[in-house]
Amino acid sequence: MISIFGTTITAASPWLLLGIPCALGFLVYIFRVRGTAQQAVVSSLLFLKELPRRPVGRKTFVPPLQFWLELAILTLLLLAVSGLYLARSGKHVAVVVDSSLSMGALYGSGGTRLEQAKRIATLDIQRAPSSTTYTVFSSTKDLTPLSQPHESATEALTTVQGAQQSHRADVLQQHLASLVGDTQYDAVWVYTDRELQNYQPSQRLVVNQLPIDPSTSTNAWIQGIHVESSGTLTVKVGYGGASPKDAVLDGECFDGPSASLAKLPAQTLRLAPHAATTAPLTPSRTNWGYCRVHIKLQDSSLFDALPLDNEGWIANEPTEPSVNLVSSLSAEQLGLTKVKTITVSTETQKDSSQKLPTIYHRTVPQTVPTTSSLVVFPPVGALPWGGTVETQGAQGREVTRWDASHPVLQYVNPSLVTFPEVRPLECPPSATPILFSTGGPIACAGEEKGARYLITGFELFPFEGSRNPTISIFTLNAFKWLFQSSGTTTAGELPTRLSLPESIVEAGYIHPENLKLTLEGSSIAPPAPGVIELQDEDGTARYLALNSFEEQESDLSRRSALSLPAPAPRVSTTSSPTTSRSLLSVLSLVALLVIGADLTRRILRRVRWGDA
Amino acid sequence: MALDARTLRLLDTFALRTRRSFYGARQGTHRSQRRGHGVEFAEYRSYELGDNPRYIDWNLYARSDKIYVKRYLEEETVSVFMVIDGSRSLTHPALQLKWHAAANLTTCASYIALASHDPVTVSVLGGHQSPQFWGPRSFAPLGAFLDSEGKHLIEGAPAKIDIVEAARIAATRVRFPGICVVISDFLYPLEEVVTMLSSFRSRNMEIHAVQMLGAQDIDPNPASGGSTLVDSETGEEIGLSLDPSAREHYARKLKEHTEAIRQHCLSAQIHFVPAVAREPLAENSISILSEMGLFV
Repeated sequence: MISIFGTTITAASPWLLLGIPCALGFLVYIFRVRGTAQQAVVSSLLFLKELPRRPVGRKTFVPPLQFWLELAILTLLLLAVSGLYLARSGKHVAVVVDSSLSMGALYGSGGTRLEQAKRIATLDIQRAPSSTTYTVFSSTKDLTPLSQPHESATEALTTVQGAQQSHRADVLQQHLASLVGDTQYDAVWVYTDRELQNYQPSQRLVVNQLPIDPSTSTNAWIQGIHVESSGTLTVKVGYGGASPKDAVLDGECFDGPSASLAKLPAQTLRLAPHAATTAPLTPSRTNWGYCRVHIKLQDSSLFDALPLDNEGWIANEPTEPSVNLVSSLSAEQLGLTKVKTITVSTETQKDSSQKLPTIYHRTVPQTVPTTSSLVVFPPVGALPWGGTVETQGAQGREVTRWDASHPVLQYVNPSLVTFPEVRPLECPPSATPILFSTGGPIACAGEEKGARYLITGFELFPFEGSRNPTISIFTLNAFKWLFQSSGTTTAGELPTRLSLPESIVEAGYIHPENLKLTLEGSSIAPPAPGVIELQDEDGTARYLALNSFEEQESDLSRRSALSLPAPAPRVSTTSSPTTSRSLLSVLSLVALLVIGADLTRRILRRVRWGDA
Repeated sequence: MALDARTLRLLDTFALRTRRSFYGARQGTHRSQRRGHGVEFAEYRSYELGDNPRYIDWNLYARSDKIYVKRYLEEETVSVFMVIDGSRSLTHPALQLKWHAAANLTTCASYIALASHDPVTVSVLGGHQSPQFWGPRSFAPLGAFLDSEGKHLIEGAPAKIDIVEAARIAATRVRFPGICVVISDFLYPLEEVVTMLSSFRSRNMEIHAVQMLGAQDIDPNPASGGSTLVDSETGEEIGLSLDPSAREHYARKLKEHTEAIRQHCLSAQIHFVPAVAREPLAENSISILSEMGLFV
């Protein structure tokens, strides 16, 4: 181990470094004895052999350039074979701060859980040896490094203090195992409020679980908002606490950013622990642009531990929902560009984190979809959600009966339609057949896992508008029922990236506070729930409401369990080379053997240097 | 191996001379051991039944009353057997001047012999043996044979030659004893040289041994500072620093070896001629021919 200018250089096999002086001696020998001599052919060595033998060039040895080149090559190869590398004197620690929604809960009188976690992390970093380096991660949507690798303690402290509260669920369960298995980290320090399972304290994985007082885990949160066709807001409220409590649900609606607000009539709710309570709120005006609803516990002896999830937002501005298309044909070929009520994107362009409603054209999803889905004309024998069934025999093309009360069939008279090709369907158990032919049901609609779906056993596309009014109205009804039933609010988790129509030129939060958003192409990265105003090219403004309904995070009384990976054997970069380094050593060894064989060949065959 | 006109004119002034008489294959210009019907009187012999009465010396019969026939010395050709050492010490590309000098000497000697209608056979030790060439018109085929052998030995793959065995085989092919000219550098152990020469001597030939050395054989002075010396015959290498004292030592060794061969030749009645291969070849060959005493 050698230290030069503060950098420590060491080798995995230091004894191999002895080969360097050996190589020097070896080269000097062969250059002196063999290398510099000129060959001369003589008729016979009959008399020359009797002369006193003296090696040639002994006194006049001047190493040629080739000598130095070969010495350099041998030295470098020996250094590589010995596994020479720059060693760090300190450990490299991955600091993972859980900044998920639940970490925004109040923690006694000392701020939030996140701030408490930062305090503990700060203490840990300050106590660690000064040679330790850090990489700080935040457990938000992805395990995002907040810092550059190998930050010093001072830099790491600054980074930890700068960790921002997120409104999303944490991803510790998905990424912690890979982080622990990463050999570039000597230790992983985790700061979280989650319940730990299988935790075996080790030097490799240190999890700091924030001690939580159960009495400070009471929380009420908005679980969902929906606009009924009557204009009434249906608000779903969740509650986590020891006993039923009263809460006040109120809110206000706005016409625009500068317009006056109209308060929603407050309602008192009786919240039951671990049960959702639904309450209607009716705006006094019908032409509201967006609304905010708010839940507040009434019991003065309690405090709502997590205020971040007490608000919900909904926008009334009709927008074109983005729909993903899974088809061998383009949206243009299917005529979907003529449909003004949806915006179609292809699957390849879709952000993987974004769950868009989807149209499956002549194909079926292989799993039960979690978003609204329209399955059009699935292949023969293909079952929805995967699998196949034997092909049916005769297929009737005549519609025999239908469920006229279903919204999809509103204003539609199927008896007027003769389909060129019809495939009777095997409807899923949760589906209701809404259209029948002589061969069986040809359209099924249903709801599963909170997402609506519609399967048609006939072709809807290409969309021809007024040229084929019955099918067109059926298609538009289907789009409305599937993709616009939840109003304009994006329900569920807060997306990390949101695609917008290309006509949008400006976007920015107007509630809860004004914040300009940067348009990256035609998408934005919303950091928090709220209402976003979208400015169109023609100057018209539209509103987009974003919420973060994360029950796992909001229900503080039921802490989600974090199953920890088994502690891996301690693997330190300071004591053993990585796989790539081992490969380099093997390759260097091969090169060294080749050069060694060449030098030996020169000696045995008396090859002059430069003749090889 | 072509000779220029000036050299040919010079060679026309030479004639082959033998010290001894041999039986020849044809009528020629050299005194033969055979008694016959030449012009030079040899002896009288008593008449025997069957002798040609033409050769009865009637004057002697008148004086002595006995019948004698006169016998004359026959004049026949002499076979010339040219032997060239074809080993790598003469044919190595770095030493090929020695071969060219030996081949040129062979060409010149053969020209003189063929001009007097004496048959010439060329044998290359380690190579091939030519057919017997007769008459001046055979000069061109002989030259072509030497060119072919030279090309084969110089440019071909090197092969180790047992010079003693090669000489023994060449000697067995001699049909008529005559003049044998052996051209070699004789840089072999003395025993091998003696054995090689004895192979031809045992065929009752008049032997002329020409030691064809190269300039580097006399003074091996390669690159200054030292050299790896490679034996042209065996490929063996030694590293030597040939300083003046070493070269002096070598020259002394070579002189002792040459003197030993000379002494052997003297005792064996072999005419030994030391020679050095140098340019121009024709002049070098004529000089050697003059020194050999074989051609006057």
